[in-house]
Amino acid sequence: MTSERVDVLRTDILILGSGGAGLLAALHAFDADSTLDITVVAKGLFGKSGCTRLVQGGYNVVLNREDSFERHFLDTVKAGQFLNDQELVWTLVTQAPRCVYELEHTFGCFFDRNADNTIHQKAFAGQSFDRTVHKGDLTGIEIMNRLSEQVMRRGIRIVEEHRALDLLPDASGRRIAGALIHSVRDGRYLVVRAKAVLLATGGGPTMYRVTAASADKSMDGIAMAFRAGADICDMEMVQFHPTGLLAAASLMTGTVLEEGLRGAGGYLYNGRRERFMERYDPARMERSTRDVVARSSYLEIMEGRGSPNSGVFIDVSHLGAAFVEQNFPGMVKRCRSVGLDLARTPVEVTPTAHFQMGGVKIGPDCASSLDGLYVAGEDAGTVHGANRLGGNGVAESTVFGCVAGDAMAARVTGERLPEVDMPLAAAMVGRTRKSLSPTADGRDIYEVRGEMQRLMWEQVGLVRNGRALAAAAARVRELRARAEDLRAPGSEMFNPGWQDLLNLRNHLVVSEMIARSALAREESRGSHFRRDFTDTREDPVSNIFVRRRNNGNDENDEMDLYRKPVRFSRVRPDGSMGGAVAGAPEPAPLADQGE
Amino acid sequence: MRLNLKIWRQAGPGAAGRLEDYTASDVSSDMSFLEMLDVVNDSLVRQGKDAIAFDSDCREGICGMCSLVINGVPHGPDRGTTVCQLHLRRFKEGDTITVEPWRARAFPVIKDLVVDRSAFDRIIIAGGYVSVNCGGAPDGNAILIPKEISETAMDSAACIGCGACVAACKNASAHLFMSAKISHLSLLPQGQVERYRRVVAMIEQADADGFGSCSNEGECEAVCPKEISISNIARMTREYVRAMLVAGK
Ligand SMILES: Cc1cc2nc3c(=O)[nH]c(=O)nc-3n(C[C@H](O)[C@H](O)[C@H](O)COP(=O)(O)OP(=O)(O)OC[C@H]3O[C@@H](n4cnc5c(N)ncnc54)[C@H](O)[C@@H]3O)c2cc1C
Ligand code: FES
Repeated sequence: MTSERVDVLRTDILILGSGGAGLLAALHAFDADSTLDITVVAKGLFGKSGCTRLVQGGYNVVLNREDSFERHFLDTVKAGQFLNDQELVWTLVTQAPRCVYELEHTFGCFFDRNADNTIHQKAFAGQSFDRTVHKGDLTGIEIMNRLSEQVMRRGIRIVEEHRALDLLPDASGRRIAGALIHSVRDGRYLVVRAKAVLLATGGGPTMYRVTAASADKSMDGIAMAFRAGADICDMEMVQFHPTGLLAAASLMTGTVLEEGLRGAGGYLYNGRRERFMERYDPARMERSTRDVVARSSYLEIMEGRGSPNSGVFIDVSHLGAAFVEQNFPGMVKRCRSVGLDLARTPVEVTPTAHFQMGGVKIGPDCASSLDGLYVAGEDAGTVHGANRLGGNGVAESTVFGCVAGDAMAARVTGERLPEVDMPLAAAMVGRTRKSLSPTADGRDIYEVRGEMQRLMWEQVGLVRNGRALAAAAARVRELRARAEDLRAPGSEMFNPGWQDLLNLRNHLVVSEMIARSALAREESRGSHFRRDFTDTREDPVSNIFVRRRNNGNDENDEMDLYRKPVRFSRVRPDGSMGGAVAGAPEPAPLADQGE
Repeated sequence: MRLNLKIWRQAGPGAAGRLEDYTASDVSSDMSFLEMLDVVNDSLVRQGKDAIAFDSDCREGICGMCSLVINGVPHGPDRGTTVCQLHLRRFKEGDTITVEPWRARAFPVIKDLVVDRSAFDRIIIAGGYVSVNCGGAPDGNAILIPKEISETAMDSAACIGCGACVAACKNASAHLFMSAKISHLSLLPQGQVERYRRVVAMIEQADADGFGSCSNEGECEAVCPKEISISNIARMTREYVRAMLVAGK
C-alpha cells in the first residue's frame, strides 16, 4: 500500500544536515576520493538553514605565537568543568588552525584583518587569550556561503527541504545502513541506502520557551540516534546564552546579542542599576563564562531585581557609540529593528536556550556506538563538557566535520552497500503517514507544545531541583504518549502544521532525556545547577549516558541511564597531568598540524 | 491589534492560485510579521485547515530564507530589512495587507508563499566560487590583503541570496545577485584564477534559467535587505567586457 510512494536512493555516504559539520564532511569526503557518491540532505534550504549561519561572534583558534594549544585546551576543559572528553578537545584545538587555513585557502573564506594583514583575533569571554577569528559580526554567513558554493561546484548531490525521519539498520540490526527521508515539499518518502551515515542535524534546544537556535531545528538527530539505539550522553548540559534580546511581546526574545559585547567590556546591570556580576564572579565580572553569567542574570530576575520586562540590561554605551557601531554593526541593526539603540543606551536582555552540549557519544573519528553511524557538530556530545566556550561551537562543527568526512571516506572504500530493513522502513512510513489526517482538528498540537516549552523553561531550565525535575520528567513522558496520538490536518504538500507535529515528537523524546539526566546528576556543574545540590561534588566525575531500552516497541521506548567515569587522559581537575601527555614536550602553536 | 490579510494560496506547483482573506485578530504590535503568520497558522491548524506555507529559519535577517512580497514590495516597506525583521508596529489597526510570493519565471511557486530558488544555485554552480587551492605555508595568516579592499569585498559578500532583487525587477533579472558575487570574488586574490571564465559562465546560466536582462531601474537595490549597491552591476559589466576581450570573442 505504501510502496508506490517510497523511492530508493543508493549512495556511498549520506550526510544528514547542511550546517558547518555536514558541509565540511561532504567536502572532505569528496576531496579524499572524488569517485564517491555523496548525498547531503537538509531539512531547510541548502546553504541557508542551520545555526552555523547564525554565528556572529566567531571562531576560536590558536594562530598567534604567544598563544598555545595548551592554553586553548585548558580554557576549554576548565569551562567544561572536566566533563569533556579530553581527546576530542585536543583534536578540536590542534585541528582548528588547519581548518581555518583551509577555509581561507581551499574554500575561499576571508576573515577580518589587522593593519599588518594578519588575521584579526578578538576577545571572547572565558578565555585566557584573544583568539576569536571573525568576519565582522557575520562570520557564519561567510563560512556557510563559501562552503555551500564549494559543495555545489563539486556536483555533490543535494536534497533540500527534506527531513530525515529515522535511521535505518540493516536487516540483521547490526549496523546502520541508511535513513528514511521525507520531503517537506510534497510529502514523499525516500529510503536512502548508504555505507556510512553522518548525523549533523545540529542539536538546538528549541523545546525551551525562550530559545535562540534556528527555528527549523528540533533535536531530530539526537532523537533519531536514540531510537536507533546509540549511546547518548551529558544531555543535562544545556547552554543558556546570557544575552538574548528582549523585545516585549515579540519572540525576537531569544535572539542573541553576541558575546563579543561582553568581551569588549560591556556591563550588565540589574533593575537597580547594580553591576550584579560583582556578587557572583568579582574577578571576571561580565567576562565570566556563559553558565555563570546566564545563571546570575536568572537569579537576579527571580529574586525581583530584574528589569521592567523581566530581564537585565547590557550596556556598551561607555565604549563610545562610534566604536560600537563600527565593531558590532549587525547587533546595532538588530536592536534598531525593534526600536532600541544599542550604541547609546542600555538594552534589555534575558538568558535564552542556546546550545546542547550533550549528544551522541563519539570516538576520535566521529564514529558512534552504532556501526556505520558517524556524528559531528552539535549532535555530538562531550567536546564541550558542562559548558561551551563562545567560539568553540563553530570550531567544533567545522573541525569534526572534516574529521568525519575523512573517516567516512576511508571507511567506505571497498565496502559493499548494505541492505536496509525495508519492512521497518515501511512501518515507519505508515506511522508517519498516520500522523496526518484531513479530518483532524489539530487543536492539541500547540497545547502540548506550549506546555512542553513552559515545563522545560521553568522546571528543567537554569535553576533546577530534584522534585521539579522528577515531576517534569513524568509529565514529559505523558506528553510523549499523547503526541503519538495527535494528528495534523492539511495536505501532504509543504504543511507547516504537520512539520510542527513531527518536530514536537522529537522534542519530547529529547526533553525526557534532559529531564532524566538532570535528575540523575545530583550536583551542580557548569550549565547544570541544582538548588538542592549546589556543590560541584561528584567523585569520580562521570558522564551520564542515556540509551534506549531494547524492547522493540516503537511507540513506547523506555530509556536506561547509566554512568561512566570521565577519563582524564591529559589533565586532572587538580591540575596534574593525566596519562596521555605526562612528560611529553609542550606543543608549540602550529607545530602539530600534519601536512 | 487586528489586521486584514489577503494571502496567496496555491495548492501546488501547477495549481491555480488566488488571494484569500484572513484576519489576524488580537496580535501585538511588538510582534514580527512572521510571528503574526505563525499565529494565523496555529489557528488554521486548530480549525483543521491547511496551514499557509512560507519559508523562514533564522528570523534574524541572516539566512535568506524568508521571501514575501508585502503590499507589492519584496520584504515589505522597511528599507534594508528582511521580512522576518518587519514588525507589526509598521502597520495600523485595521490595515489590509496583501502577502504574495516572489514572482519570477525562474522562481516557480512550490506552494502558497514558497518558491523554488534553485535557479540561484545553478548560477553559483556555473561559476560563483573560488576554485584554486591558494597553497603556501600552512599558516592561517598567509593571505595578505589590504584592509580597504577586504572591506569593499565584504560589503558585496553580505548577500544572503534571498532573491528579493529578482522579485522587485520588472525584468526578473538576477544581475544584482550575480554582480555581488562577482565583485566579491574578483576583488580578492582567492578569486583571480577564474575571474573571466566566472562572469561569462554565470551570465550564460542566468539567461538559460529565464532571468531577464538589466535595464537599470534600480528596484533591486531599493529592496535589498543587505543594501548591496547597484554599482556592483557596473563592475560586473566591466568584468564581462574585459572577459570578452581576453577571450578574443
Ligand atoms: C544565534 C546563534 C549564534 C551562535 N554564535 C556562535 C559563535 O559566535 N561562535 C561559535 O563558535 N558558535 C556559535 N553558535 C553555535 C554554532 O552555530 C553551532 O555550534 C554549530 O555551528 C552547529 O553546527 P552544525 O553543523 O552542528 O549544525 P547547524 O549549522 O545547525 O546545521 C544543522 C543542519 O541540519 C539540518 N537538519 C535539522 N534537522 C534535520 C533533519 N531531521 N533531517 C535533515 N536535516 C536536518 C538543518 O536544516 C541544517 O541544515 C551560535 C549558535 C546560535 C544559535
Ligand atoms: S528568516 Fe532568515 S533572513 Fe528572514
